[in-house]
Amino acid sequence: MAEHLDDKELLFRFKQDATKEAAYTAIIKKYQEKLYWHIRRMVVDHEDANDVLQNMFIKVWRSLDNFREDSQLYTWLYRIATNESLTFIEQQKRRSAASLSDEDSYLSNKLVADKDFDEKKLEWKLQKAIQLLPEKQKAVFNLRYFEEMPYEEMSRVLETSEGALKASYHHAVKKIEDYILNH
Amino acid sequence: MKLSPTLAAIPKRNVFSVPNGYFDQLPTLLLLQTKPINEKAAVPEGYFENLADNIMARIKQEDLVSDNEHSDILKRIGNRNIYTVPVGYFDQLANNILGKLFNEPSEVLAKIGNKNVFTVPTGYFENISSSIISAIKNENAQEETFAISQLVAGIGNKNVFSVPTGYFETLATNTQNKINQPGKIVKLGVRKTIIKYAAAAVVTGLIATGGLFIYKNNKTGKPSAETIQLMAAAKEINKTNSFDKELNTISDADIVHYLEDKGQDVNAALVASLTDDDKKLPDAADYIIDESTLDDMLKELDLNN
Repeated sequence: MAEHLDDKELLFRFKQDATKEAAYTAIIKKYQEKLYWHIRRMVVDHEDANDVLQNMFIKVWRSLDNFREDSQLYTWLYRIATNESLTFIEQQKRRSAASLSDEDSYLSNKLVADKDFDEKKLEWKLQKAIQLLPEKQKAVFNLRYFEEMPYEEMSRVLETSEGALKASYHHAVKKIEDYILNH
Repeated sequence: MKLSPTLAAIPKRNVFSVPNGYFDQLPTLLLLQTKPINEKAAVPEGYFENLADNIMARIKQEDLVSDNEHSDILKRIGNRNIYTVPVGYFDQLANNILGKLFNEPSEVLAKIGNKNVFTVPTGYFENISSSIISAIKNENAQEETFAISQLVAGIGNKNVFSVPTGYFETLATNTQNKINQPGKIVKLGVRKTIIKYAAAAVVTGLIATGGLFIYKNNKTGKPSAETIQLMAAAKEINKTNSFDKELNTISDADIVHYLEDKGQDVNAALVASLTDDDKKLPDAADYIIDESTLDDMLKELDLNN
């Protein structure tokens, strides 16, 4: 149950050969669900979320030795998860046909294909509206709305000023409201 | 009387009698018969309700009068209270009594002492001020959303997605297994997207290699059947612009085998897979037209030295 240790202890153990793998497993177990849901909300599909999550943890394995402890592990992991998700979406968009309209985007199609999708339910309509946001604004909205992350922390994750994040969130909420009212 | 001298001879004396006092009581009796009897009206309102109290009061009064009759001085003094208590005495009396009850020294408690048994996380008090400031600076997300849009805030942030059963239980093991898995591709990244980028490089590399074969074979004048077939496929892809479609038909396993078989193309494919996303890979057509495209790209990336 090493996942209950604090990050500093986990990092210390990761840097020791004898406890490296156990510490790594503990880090995954400690953060997997939070990071998974963050990624899933970004890339929508479970298989894609699983790919991005595993890939980001593999990157963590390779770079954790060099992790500078002047930032929090939690923030650093969120940053990698966000960047990996944004990169993944960008690649998928390039690969999908450019002829799709905004409302029929790659991610909207993925959302509609979800086995639980129910357009009559407001929470799914909200997800559909979120897919229309620019990707980085989507990340801002998801972190604030679903994870209720403080702006100060979000600023470190997204490397953007708090003011810009607040403005971005405000615009995102307004766009979503507009979509829901008109659909 | 002229009509009957007989009657005239009878004296006019009354032969009937009435009970004694009949006529004295008659008006009262008649009055009672003309008005309905109202028992309640017969006594003052509330008479019976207060009767017992009134009787008791009278008994007491009579007793007092009787006692006071013994002393005129006492009667003059009256029964006014001359004592006073401190202000709020009766308001606090119950608390004072309870306080005395519970503040009785207890030997058991005295032995236990008042040592604090609770603990807080390490560094709690050092960080509390910054935590509070942080909380103040970051107003509640739900309140913030509500201020912007009541509609959006009202939807709530309930999770709508689901994951396969047991997914999180096996994630750490699966990831660890992938790290420990041997193989060229695995070492450089396993995610689908890299594989797909590698696939792009394989396909383009394949076509470029095909172009190179033709060039070489043209010198000998003997193009192989494989080369002819390859170039035909390449021309078709180029003509119909179905590069993406063809790419998707190649399985990951085929790509891995191909990369393992063709050492020179492995490097090319992996370099291509690792290029910055913002740097566009050359078009498929470029590879067909110019076999040096890949080399040029490598030079540009400064990775070919």
